[in-house]
Amino acid sequence: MRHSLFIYDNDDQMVESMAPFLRSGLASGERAVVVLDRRKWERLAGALGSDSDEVLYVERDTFYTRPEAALLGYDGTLRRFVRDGASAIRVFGELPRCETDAEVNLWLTYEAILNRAFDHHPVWVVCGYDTREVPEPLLKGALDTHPEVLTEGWGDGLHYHEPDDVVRSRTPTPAPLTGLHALPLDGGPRGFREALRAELETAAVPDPEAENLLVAAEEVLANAQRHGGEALSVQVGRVGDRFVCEVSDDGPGMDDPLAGFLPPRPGHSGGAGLWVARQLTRQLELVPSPRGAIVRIWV
Amino acid sequence: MAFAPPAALAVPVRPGEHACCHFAHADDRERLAVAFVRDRLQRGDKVIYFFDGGDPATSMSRLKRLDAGFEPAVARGHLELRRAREAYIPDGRFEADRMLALLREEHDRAGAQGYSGLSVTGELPDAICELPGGEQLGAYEARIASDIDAPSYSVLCQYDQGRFGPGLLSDVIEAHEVDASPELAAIGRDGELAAARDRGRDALRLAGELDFGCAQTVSEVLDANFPGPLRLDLADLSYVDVAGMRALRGRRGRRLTIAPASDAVRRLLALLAWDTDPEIELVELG
Repeated sequence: MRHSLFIYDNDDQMVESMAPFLRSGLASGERAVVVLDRRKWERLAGALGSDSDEVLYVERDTFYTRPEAALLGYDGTLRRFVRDGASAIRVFGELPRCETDAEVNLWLTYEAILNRAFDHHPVWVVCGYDTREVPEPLLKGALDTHPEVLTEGWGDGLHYHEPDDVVRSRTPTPAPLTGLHALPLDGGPRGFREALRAELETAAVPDPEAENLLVAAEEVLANAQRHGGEALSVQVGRVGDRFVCEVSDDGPGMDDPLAGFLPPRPGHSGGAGLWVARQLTRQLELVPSPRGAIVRIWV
Repeated sequence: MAFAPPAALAVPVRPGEHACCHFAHADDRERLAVAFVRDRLQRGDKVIYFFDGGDPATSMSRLKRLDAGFEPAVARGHLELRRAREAYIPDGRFEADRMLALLREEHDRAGAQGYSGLSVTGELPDAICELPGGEQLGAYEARIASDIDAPSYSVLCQYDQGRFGPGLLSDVIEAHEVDASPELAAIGRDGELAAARDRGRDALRLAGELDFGCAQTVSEVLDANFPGPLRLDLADLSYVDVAGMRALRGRRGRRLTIAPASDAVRRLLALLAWDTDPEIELVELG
């Protein structure tokens, strides 16, 4: 997988670099994907001419809703291309508009994760950063998260940081929650599901969120039981208009900031439980704990 | 039988099917029968349970206690507990035509009384094969399904392997569309999951909930009995988690044909990349 940074100041520059990038992939029989706002795509498509018919275009804001969704979307697309015989895939995409620090951090963690998420796919992802739109902190962060940068040609990114470090430093530390209550765990997974279903019904959480949380909570619980020592507890409750479930164990603790962010790949059976949990919930947080791990999921 | 059944028991037999269960242990057979009876009562069927062996009064009172719903169902006439020998061999001989007529009559009466159908389960009378007419048993079983072919008629025959020779048993099994065969008994033991072979489609059917608690058992049973490619009917698998999905693939990643998947299975297919896996085929059944 190649993951490259392309910084530009105006539409002409974007078209001058990206049209040949895509065209040369298509000419070699590769597939091409573009995720951009519609206005920029129309400029780029104009330059590509009839080649634009070969490109899979997805509107930026419908695709980049949240990092987990983008990872799922890309992985599915890449897998389908590979299954259907693609030798390689080229992607040109741009992140959604980021205004706040929280948004900048969120999408930079996504960029960092990309370096590990698709390294088993034959894909070259070029991320476009338009200096007219991208705030300075995001631009700086882009240099940390791309191993390759297009300047005169494609060169090594000298500021590249390891994904684990970027994700760790840019993921806010969740605060402890109060007001939750415990769920009984003596009924095995079946009893746990019944108890959790009752809680979700009391809290009026609708489907599909309720059923999704049930599956996610079970995966977190299974994970905790597999890795997590003796004492296990589950706390649930409503916080604002959200429903939250926290699973605590006193095992060795979870120190992998990328846990649950990497799509499952053939031959690797680990990690799918937390990936499923991240995909089926609004958010999954690793809460600091003096002993063991606390995983918190929200719908 | 000493277990406290959970709120819902899984049943791998659908309305309209003729199924057999020849699990080795009586407890396992009875567990499946209880699940079947409970399921059918909930659907609004009239249910007849043929029992054999021991003192009838003792047997009936024991059967009524197998599930909290049975006593009231008996009281209201929805569930009938009948001595197998009085139905099958009232005069010491078995006549296939007579027994089929009895079942047909019960089915029609159930319909007339407003039930959604008739479901029948139970054992055959001991030593029926040695009695006059006993040789008609295989042919009789073969006619059960064709005699009344409707979703309103469901039969689960329980066979104690010890009472029937392997030759007769295999003939009788062939007369059934669905076979809860002995190697699958372990899967059903905690009640939330049940398995049976769909003989017509050569598929393994799993019904109920497959979670990390029972995934290990499923894994062991499948690895021991289904080494090669496997066709799975998961339409009635109402819940499954990642551990459950992995148990279906097995240690060596067997080829699977999922025909069909339930919503619970579908939820995980793309997330586990099974939708692009060349070893997994997904079939929608019309």
